[in-house]
Amino acid sequence: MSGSSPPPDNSLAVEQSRQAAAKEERERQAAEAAQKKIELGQLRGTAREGAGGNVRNYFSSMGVDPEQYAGSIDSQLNNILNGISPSEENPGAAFTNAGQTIWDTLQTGGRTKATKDINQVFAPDFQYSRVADTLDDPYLAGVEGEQYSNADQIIKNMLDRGVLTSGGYSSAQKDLENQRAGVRSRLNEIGMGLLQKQRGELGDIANRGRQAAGALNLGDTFDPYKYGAEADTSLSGFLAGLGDQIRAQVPGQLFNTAGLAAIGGAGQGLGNTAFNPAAAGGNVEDPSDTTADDEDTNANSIF
Amino acid sequence: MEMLGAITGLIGAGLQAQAQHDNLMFQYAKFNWEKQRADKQDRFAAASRSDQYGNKTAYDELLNEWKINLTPTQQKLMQGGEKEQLLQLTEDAPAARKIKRAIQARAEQAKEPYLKASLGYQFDQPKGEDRIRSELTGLMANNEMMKTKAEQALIMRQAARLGKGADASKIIQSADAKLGANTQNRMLAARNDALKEFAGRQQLHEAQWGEPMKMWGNLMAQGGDIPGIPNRAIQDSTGAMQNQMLSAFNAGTRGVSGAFDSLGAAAGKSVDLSGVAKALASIGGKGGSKNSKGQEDETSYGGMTSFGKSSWDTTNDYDRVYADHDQSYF
Repeated sequence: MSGSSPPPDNSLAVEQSRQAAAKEERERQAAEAAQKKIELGQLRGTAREGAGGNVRNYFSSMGVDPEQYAGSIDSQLNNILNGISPSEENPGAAFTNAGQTIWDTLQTGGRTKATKDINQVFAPDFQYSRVADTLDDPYLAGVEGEQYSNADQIIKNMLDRGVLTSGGYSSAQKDLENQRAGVRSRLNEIGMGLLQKQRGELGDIANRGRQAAGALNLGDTFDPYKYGAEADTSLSGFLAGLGDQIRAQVPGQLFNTAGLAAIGGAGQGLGNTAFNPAAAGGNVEDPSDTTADDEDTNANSIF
Repeated sequence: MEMLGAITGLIGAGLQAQAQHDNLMFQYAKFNWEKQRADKQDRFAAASRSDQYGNKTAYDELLNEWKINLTPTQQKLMQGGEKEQLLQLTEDAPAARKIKRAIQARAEQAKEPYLKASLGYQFDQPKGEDRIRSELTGLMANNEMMKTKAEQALIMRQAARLGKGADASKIIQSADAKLGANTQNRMLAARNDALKEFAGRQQLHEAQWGEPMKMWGNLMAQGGDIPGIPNRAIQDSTGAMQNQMLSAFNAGTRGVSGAFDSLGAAAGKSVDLSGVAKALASIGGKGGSKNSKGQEDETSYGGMTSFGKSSWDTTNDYDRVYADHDQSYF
């Protein structure tokens, strides 16, 4: 009896063949992917290069030499490039409007820096540290002293002419002293107004600087010290003319001298001399002396 | 006997056959009647009728569908709608997109002027009241001094002509005293005038920088959304929704607003707290919700079962509960 032989076992060969085919497919896919990667890399490179040219053209069209900002431009373009996925099929899209975006970024940066610089020159409330409340005190004291001396001179003249006794003089002087507070207050008000005016002017200079810094165009230079120097000039001019400005605002006599003779007279009581109309003109001669004539009157006297 | 049996059997068979025939005829008649009825029903089902819009509809057996017989006007309207949609997509949308792009470009251009206006608004401040006051004090003092000194010169000349030249010092003293005595008046006048001028300068500043800033800001805001196809319908519906929400909001706040006014009025009177009590009552939902017996509903405060609701009405509630039990038990 002859039996049929089993079929040959080709499973190993089939498996080997299958694995070889799979390997070949994997290699083909890997080669394809590598090729694709190279192509995408080239595409990214081309997009980046094109963007560089476009951005430089944009800067030139805005009247600015792009090479001045070459470092910043390249750095920002590289940042954009790094943000693009390696599998991105259209890397050029990421660079759309890159020129304007970079321009805006650099301009904003420039403005921020300029603002910071000007704020360093003009710290907050710098006006108050430069123009202190006490700045006008010596001038005010000077003006007050002058005004007081003038008023005091009037009652001294009366004392010299014998219109007032020393008691009357003291009473009149006391009245002048009483007026001091009011005079000082008026002078202070005027001085404070002048100080505020100057502070405002300094603030205006600083604000002009801040305005210029905030609107600074890319390519323009900004010098914060120009405004600092302007403020210094303004302040020194103010200090030089402060005394005159105070005097200009207080023309005339701040102490009221009109009633001093009467006050002095009331103070001296029985010591009052008989009324002599000529004494008001400065003539202190004996009224009974008829030899005196008008030419003897003191032209500088007041009372 | 057998014969009789056979005859009886024959008669029985005959009778059975007759009964079968009669039944068959009955069934046939019934079948025919059913057919007629089905035909009628078919005809009835396919009969022309009016839909809810008043359009005449008819069944098309060939296409196996219901047809709407449109009037010529309706036909035009339908076609007009399609045409309109086509125009919207092919012409209006691109035109709208162009306009939107132009608005966006304008908004972009408005950025710089807006910035400048905003900087001007911030930093080009009008002179303060104290500065103006100081300037006015100086100007008034100078003006008065010039006038007084001119008058003084006139008086002195006159005095000299009258042979009173010796009084010159008196005249000068008087002029200076007058100028000095007027200092406080000048300061007060400068203060009043400075306030007015300051207000004027503020208005000018607002017109010079504030208005342009608003205008450029508006232009920028107009270019804010993404260009797209016309979205009027969406805007209409959202607009209607917004109006409803606004209306609801207004209704909700009206009570609070009124209550706030009452509160303010009561606060102004201080000691009398009746207004405050009234205001608080109206904040709590117009005096709080009340149940059918006019009692305050506690759920509006604590979310708990209302005392008013659970309170026992001896007659009615007993009957009601008992009746419920009756229904459930029996």
